[in-house]
Amino acid sequence: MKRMKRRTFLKNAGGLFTGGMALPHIIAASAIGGDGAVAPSERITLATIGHGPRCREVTPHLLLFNELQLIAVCDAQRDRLLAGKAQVDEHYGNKNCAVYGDFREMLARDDLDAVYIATGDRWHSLASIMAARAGKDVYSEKPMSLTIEEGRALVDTMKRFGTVYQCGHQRRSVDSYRFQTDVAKGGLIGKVHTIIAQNWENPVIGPEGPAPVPAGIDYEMWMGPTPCHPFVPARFYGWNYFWDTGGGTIIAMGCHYTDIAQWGLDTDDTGPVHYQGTGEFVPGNFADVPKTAEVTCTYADGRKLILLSRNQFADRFIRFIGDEGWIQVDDETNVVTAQPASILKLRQISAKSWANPAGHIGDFLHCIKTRQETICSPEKSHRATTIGHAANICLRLGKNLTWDPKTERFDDADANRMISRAMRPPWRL
Amino acid sequence: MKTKPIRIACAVILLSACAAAAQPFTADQITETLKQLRTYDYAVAPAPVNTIENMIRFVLDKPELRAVLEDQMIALLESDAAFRAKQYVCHQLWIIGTDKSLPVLEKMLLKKDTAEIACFALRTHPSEGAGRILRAAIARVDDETKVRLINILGDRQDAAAVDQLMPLLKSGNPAVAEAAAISLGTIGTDKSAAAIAAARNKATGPMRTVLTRAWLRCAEQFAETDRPQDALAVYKHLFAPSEPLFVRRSALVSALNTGDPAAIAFLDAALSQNVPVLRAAAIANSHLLEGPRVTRRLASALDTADAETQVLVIEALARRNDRAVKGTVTTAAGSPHADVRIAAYNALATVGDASSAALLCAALPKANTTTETETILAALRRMHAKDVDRTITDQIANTDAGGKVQLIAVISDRRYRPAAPTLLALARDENTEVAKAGLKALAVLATAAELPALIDIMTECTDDAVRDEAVRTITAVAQASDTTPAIEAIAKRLDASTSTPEQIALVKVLSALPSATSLERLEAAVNSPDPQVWDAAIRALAQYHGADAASPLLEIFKTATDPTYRAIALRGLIRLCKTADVPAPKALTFYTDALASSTTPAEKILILSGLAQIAHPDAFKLGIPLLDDETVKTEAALALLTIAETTPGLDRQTLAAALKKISADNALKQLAPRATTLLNTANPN
Repeated sequence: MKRMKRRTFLKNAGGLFTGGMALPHIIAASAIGGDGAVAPSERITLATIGHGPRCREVTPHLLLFNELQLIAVCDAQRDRLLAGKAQVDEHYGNKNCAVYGDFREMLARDDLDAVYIATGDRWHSLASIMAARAGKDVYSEKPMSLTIEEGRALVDTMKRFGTVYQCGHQRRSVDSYRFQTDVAKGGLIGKVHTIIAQNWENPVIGPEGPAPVPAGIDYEMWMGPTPCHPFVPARFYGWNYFWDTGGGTIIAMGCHYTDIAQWGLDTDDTGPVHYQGTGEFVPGNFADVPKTAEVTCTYADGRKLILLSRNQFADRFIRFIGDEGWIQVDDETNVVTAQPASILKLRQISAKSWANPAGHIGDFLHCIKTRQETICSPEKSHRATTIGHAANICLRLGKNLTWDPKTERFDDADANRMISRAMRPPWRL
Repeated sequence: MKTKPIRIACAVILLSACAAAAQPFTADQITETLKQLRTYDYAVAPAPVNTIENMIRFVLDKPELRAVLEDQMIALLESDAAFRAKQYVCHQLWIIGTDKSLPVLEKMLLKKDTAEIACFALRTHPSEGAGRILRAAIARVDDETKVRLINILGDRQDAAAVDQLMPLLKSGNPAVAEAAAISLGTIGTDKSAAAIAAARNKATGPMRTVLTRAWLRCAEQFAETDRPQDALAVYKHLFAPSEPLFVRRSALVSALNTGDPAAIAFLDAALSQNVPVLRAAAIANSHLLEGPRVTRRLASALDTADAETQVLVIEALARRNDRAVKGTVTTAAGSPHADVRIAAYNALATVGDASSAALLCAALPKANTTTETETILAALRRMHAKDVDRTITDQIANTDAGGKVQLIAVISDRRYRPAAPTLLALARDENTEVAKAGLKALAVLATAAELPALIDIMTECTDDAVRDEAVRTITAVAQASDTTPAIEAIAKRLDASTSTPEQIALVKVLSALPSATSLERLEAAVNSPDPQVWDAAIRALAQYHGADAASPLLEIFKTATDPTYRAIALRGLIRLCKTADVPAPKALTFYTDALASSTTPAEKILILSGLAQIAHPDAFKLGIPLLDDETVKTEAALALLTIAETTPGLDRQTLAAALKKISADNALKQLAPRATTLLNTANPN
């Protein structure tokens, strides 16, 4: 690989090193009134689907955009629903935020332009697809899908309906990760041969039996397209650790890192071709997912992406390793380290970490207006998420697998069956 | 994380976490474990489900054991085992089920309470038999189960099911009719497409929406199977103004997605109609169509578009990377709207040529905002067309001082070395900012060949800031060149110089170019009769980049009478001993001499600061006497403690004596804990 000179690197890196990230120009001058406010008729109307902790974190950032009007919230849990309405109404100083327990009713509104989806993983792809079918644009939290087929169906649907879709891989809109990928792509650490992405380990959960559904929870809607189980608190609150509803940290958090890896390797339209890994499946564990795991994903040119699930929550990081150095972002602290350390002098530090999704939201709103592709487009997000799904299939089967990114099939009949699975009616892709 | 805290299992479970995926299992163990599964009901009736998953991993490549496992699963499904056990087994058959399990699954399909879990097992079952039992069951189940089966048949894209599904489009139960429509669309044969189109003609309300979705799926299948005209025919229907806007948008984007040349009609229509979302979608997706016709159609839209749309069109034209649009974009660069101009500047970086570079240079002084200026400069940096570098270089002369500074930086970033003569001329510009910019660029672009001219500039200029910039440039160029000829040239120039400013500048340069010649000239300059020159020479020696300057600096310290120069020399000496490659014994010799010559507490303190950095027993010994010097004993104690903490193998008696002295001195009581710690370490008993 031709090594890029630092000055050339700076030149090509655009605004990142010369003044931070600029939000795209979003609203036409004609839409802006004399006081800087956006005319109501020009505002993008948005509703939330799944107003839990993540949504409550993101909502204040959504509300900062004057060109956006949050008109409704939806959740299958009544306390979350009411908390969401209170959050929105408090901002606007009125009681106008509508509430819905069933997002299908909300999607039927003609005055709704877009949705922000922050449900559990089981709903991400289907709610996105149904919103697109209703003509709404979509910003959905990650991971975009529960299976590889769901992801592909989402990509196809967004393409089919000309939907603007932003996946919540918001690290692409954060300068530390942009810097990391610019450094990797610019050759400043030589030829990148390995990426290590560390997620925390999954918990071991004690067995638990069914219990009455707590008041205020529409459990049927909560389960959605996933297999039917009675209400078991451990399954309900720990949904991320059961195959029916989640995929453990390697997909829940790992998809952020696989997304950055794909970006840094310039492989957004493809992915690794070989998976080899081991997982620690603990006897007696009520959870399905392995407690710890290590999967080596190898690209066709030999570059490796090593996914780790181990250690504590705060220990997560992604490191690009080249033949002349490395660069790492510690996810908990947003601190960037590198070897040679002199690389870090090229960085214009922004105070914004992954916890601030403003840049990502801004990109979404810009694309709604221009109908352009978002920074985390369906195809890119699907490819990144597929890595996590393929890694999990590799772990579940205990087999080395070869994956064809073109046909999106494994070389293994058992693995191919796990690319998709039945949805519980009335839900379907 | 979107989960509440969950209960973590006890340590017993953790301790048992030793089972590996490759753990061997026998047929008997498989049979026994599956028996244990029969009563499974979460924690109410636990079962070794993790063990069964380990078994699956183990048997995948062992046909005989795999068959045993499937047989046991089938037996469980046929038994009166608990529902949770059957559900669990169906989830495993999803992965490993073969034709053997189809009979029991067929029975389960017909029962309302087990149809769902049977469907889970059959969803990706590779056998044609799976499709057969699903199709056979449709007529024998209630509507709720029928929907499940129709969904699965659609997901499996079972073309053999089309004839069964078509009549269901007319079902009185909307759920059945909708499921049939979607499945027919997913299967996407000609027959199903025709059925969907016919049904859609008569449908209203939600069913029409569902049939539209299904028809779009059929059209997609046409496009994917090299039948773009058939696909476009569907999209033409759906793009009609009578259709809902999002359906029209979908038809438009899907038509462009075919990539078929005939799809330009959709682009044309969308650009012609005053529907903003369609126009924006057409522009954003115009890259899906190739060819100059598309480029021309897009370009023509600029004539009538508002400023906001012009921006989108220009961005789309730039993405096409077609130089034929240069004229159009050039015109847009003269727009009265800043956003349009900015988009055009960006586009010219891709589609422009050398004349565009000239245009951008000319636009620079007229830019109204920082954003506009930065865009022009970024575009100039990005341009790849022929002769762009030369054009920018030529344009420097035609702009004002601010523009000159900006364009010089661009040329520097573009690494255009042939600009060196122009930059040398600019380095003599009467505007100091221009001159400094020229010199900065030359630091990047010049080679040894330009050194004589650079030295001329340095010696001839009258502005201190420019001269300092010239010193940095000459230093950078010399360091990047073969230094010996460069040093010789500078030394020769110094030898011949009679100008004080020139000599001062040259000694500054030499301080950054360590060599015998450099050092010799600097030492000579120290003895210059010109006080300004020797002042510069002493300062240059103190900043010298090589350890060889230590001796001359010590000599200056020992002989100079002016405390200022003594301090400069001593600081230089200590810096070299700390940072240059001066071996510890040699540094100790220097410090011994320096201490002997020191006359003030400040000088001793400086020496002690250097001494503390030497992890050597002799450094410790050298510092001990200073504990008796009341004016510096605190600094001496600090240095001794630092040395003691970093130096192994110190003589115990010497160390103990010094540390006790520090501990016992009331004036040093704040250091006593460190000393005591060291004492305890030195005398563990």
